Amino acid sequence: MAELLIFLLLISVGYFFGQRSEQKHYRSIRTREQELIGLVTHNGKHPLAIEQLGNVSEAKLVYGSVVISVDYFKRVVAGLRMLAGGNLATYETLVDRGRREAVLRLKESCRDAAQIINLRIETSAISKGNQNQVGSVEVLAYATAIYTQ
Amino acid sequence: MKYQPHLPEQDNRQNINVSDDQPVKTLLTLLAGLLAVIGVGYWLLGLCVDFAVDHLPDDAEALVASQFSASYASSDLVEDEFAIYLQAMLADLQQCAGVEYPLQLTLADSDQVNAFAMPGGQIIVFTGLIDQLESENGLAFVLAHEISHFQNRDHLRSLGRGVVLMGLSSLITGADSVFTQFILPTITLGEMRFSQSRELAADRNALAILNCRYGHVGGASEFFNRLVSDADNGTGSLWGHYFDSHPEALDRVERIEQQGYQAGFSVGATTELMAR
Repeated sequence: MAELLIFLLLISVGYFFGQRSEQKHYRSIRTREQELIGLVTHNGKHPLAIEQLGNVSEAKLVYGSVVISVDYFKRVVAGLRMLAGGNLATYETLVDRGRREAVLRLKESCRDAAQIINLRIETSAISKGNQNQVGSVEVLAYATAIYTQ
Repeated sequence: MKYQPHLPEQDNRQNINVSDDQPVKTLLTLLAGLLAVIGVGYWLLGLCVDFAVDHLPDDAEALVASQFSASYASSDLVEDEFAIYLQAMLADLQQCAGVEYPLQLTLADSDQVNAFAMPGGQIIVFTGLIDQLESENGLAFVLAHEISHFQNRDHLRSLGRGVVLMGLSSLITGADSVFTQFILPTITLGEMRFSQSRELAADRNALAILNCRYGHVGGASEFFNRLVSDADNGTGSLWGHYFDSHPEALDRVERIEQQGYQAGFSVGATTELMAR
């Protein structure tokens, strides 16, 4: 019985704090995205509108990475999903936050760039938790920042 | 071509990469589905267990039972004249029941009003139970009831279902998961619990044994009558533990009397229990 109570406690704690931090994170992401929307960012190999860009003075590699952990609630839902299959919505928000946060960190590292080109995003599971379930996700975004005179 | 920046949730659009999902609802749906699958699997495998138990040869049953070197380890064991008298009583009832299974009776000194049968053929009777009874017939019915559990192979059924439940739990949640650890004690417990239908079947059989031994079924419901009257006096909470898996005492008295009447057993005078 004690184990069952601990399980219920963990899942409630996981849900309460997990949801709270997720919502807080999304609020922060939306504000910062709005703030940096003017910074031209794309995944093409060549800068856009070269004729308007002027002389490129500097090009450098920029990157942003983030590690986000799964909460207990998400893990339990994922464990149950594993049996039935289907859309794992609780992990979708996790990787969505990861990707957007990584790109934001990348942009914040080169606010003065004229353009950010060749943007790439990579995801990896960096820790294996209990029973080989993914414990946390790392998202790395890297690109080339171009500066003009 | 003009560069057009946009945000995932611009103009109140839903983020395309995140499903519109209520996590708690998903969890409950998945849990309910899992429990339903386990429930159906448990029920089907339970039927298989019943089938196997009914068709198990006697020597195979003895082999299974021998795996339980069940012994009630306690310093409170009573070994006096009364215990010998109980042993003789059990032997008589066993002969009536036609059980060749070697049965052993142990009298333990405890206030608990309880008697239970352990796999392997040991019946434990607490002195608390003896103190509640006035007639030999009343006690004989309780013993006959425990003998009936052996005769109906209720231990094997209970054990089989326990193993099935354990297997399902290990299969789905893992051998050392919370759920499996939760279930484990229920099958290693010496004191097994049987379903209500098994209890009623044991009562029916116990009546026949009692009728064979004494020629009538008088006193069969004495123990349960005591429980009912004690419950009326407000001291009923003492029995809560014993009756977890047993049909309600009042209901049981009625059923025992009805079953006795249907089987055409007469009700005669009871024999007084030997003094302790």
